[in-house]
Amino acid sequence: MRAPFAVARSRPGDWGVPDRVPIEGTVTGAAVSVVGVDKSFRRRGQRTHALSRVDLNVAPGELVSLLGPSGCGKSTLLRTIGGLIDVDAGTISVDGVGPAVARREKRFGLVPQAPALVPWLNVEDNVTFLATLHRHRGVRRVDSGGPLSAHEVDELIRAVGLDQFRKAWPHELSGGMQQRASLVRGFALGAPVLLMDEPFAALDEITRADARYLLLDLWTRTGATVVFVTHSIPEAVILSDRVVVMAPRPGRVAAIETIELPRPRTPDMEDDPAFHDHVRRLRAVLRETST
Amino acid sequence: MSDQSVKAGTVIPSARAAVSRRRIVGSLLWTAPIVGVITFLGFWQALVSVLHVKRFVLPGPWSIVVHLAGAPGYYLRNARSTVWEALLGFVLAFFLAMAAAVVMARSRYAERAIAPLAVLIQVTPIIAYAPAVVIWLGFGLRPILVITSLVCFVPFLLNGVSGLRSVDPLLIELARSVDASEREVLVRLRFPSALPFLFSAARINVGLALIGAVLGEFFAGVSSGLGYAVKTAQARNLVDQLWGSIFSLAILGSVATLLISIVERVTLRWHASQRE
Repeated sequence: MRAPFAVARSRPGDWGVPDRVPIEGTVTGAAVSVVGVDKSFRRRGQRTHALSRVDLNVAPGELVSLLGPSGCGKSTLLRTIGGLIDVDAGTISVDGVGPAVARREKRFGLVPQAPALVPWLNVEDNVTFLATLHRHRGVRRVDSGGPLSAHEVDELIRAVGLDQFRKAWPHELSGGMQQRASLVRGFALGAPVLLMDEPFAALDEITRADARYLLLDLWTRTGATVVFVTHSIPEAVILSDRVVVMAPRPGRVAAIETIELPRPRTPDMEDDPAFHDHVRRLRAVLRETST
Repeated sequence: MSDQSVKAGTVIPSARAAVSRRRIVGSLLWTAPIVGVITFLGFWQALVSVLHVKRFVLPGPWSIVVHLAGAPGYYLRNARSTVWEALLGFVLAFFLAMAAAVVMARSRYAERAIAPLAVLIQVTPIIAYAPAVVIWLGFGLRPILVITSLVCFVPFLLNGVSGLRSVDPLLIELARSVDASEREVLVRLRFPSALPFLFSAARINVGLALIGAVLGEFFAGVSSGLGYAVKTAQARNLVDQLWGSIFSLAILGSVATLLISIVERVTLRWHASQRE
């Protein structure tokens, strides 16, 4: 049986990710590779070029943010990585396997914009819900131990402050608490890749600030690779190893900024000149790409 | 600590008053249906007494209750037949409608193909084609079941389709993200989402199932059931038996509705419709 939070999570990055002190985690994050991906949608005879020749490599255990204005293809890229949308051209792989196989092997944990908790399940059952699906097919990943154990899930629930609410219905929780449960559900799957689609967009600014550090804590504990979609520049900077700036019409990668702030990240760092330098640079890139 | 501060765990008087007020209001809400029914019956009794309404036109509720108490075995025996027919028809309609609803919820084409049939069943008065059903199936339980199932089918079908489609699309996407099968999505997400809709249909169908069973008894040549009791009372001008049967049907419908409400309250504790 796997000891809780005892497996070394970091593997050396192949794409210039700053080396970090290895942190103990529950899963080994997977490498994500996106090469020359193209995607168009057709609606009422109109063709929208959502993604154009997108290349992106994410190192195992890396936290990468996709930043850009609405309609630049961030969510589409996230869903193509997760195998939820098929690509027209190009290839996507997760530790060498295609998204469809990766999905079957539960290599992805999805955290959507809204908490989307199952209303008839309590918090405890909600966080383990995805792990209980698809179990009958007996598919197991070879590179990690699968869904977290009950003890590990307990740890995560405690870590996000929902210990007293494990038997509560979703409607009994505040918006922030629901989003925390949604975060734990994503991590509880023990997936090596977490795909987060603006999970904090609906939260107020104070709750949102707390949620960022909660996410960092869970990420540190589990060691998953995270691809995080956001509109917020400060959020992208404080969370990420790298920020991928996307430009619209057609959606493409405009720039990649490596964040030099040390780990672990703390709220004090948001006053750091280096933090503000990153924010300024990213704002300039966004302004440039949108004009 | 300042003088104004409140010690942890102390219930302040206004909060205590609010809690007890809420309890009183809660208890009063439970009594409201009983008060409503008793008021109605009292008004009916008073009207009959004051206006000296002839017994064969409209007996007072008290005399109907006395009549029922005088022959409980007769009404229980007939009620048992009607309940059995209504229950079987109700359950049959549920399973048939859910099978169709699953197909319709998955395929717009199937929905468009089946919907007109559902509308036809709904808009054509069952009393018009009930004799035809008896001609096809002969006398006995079978035509009663078909008639009862037909009247219950459409509410289950329409609510079933809406319910199966009501599941949060994000939950479907989450299930897809772990490659959940269609069957898992159906059983783990779509059916539970449909439950509030199905309970609404069930409450409507309690009355419809009784109507179907009584109507079936009128045509199907059976010799038991409350519909049969109503038919013989009409033929022999037995006013007490007529009203005794009507009261029995009303009691059956009310008890069945109450039972469904209790099951709904327990099953749908999580749903907005069951919150105070």
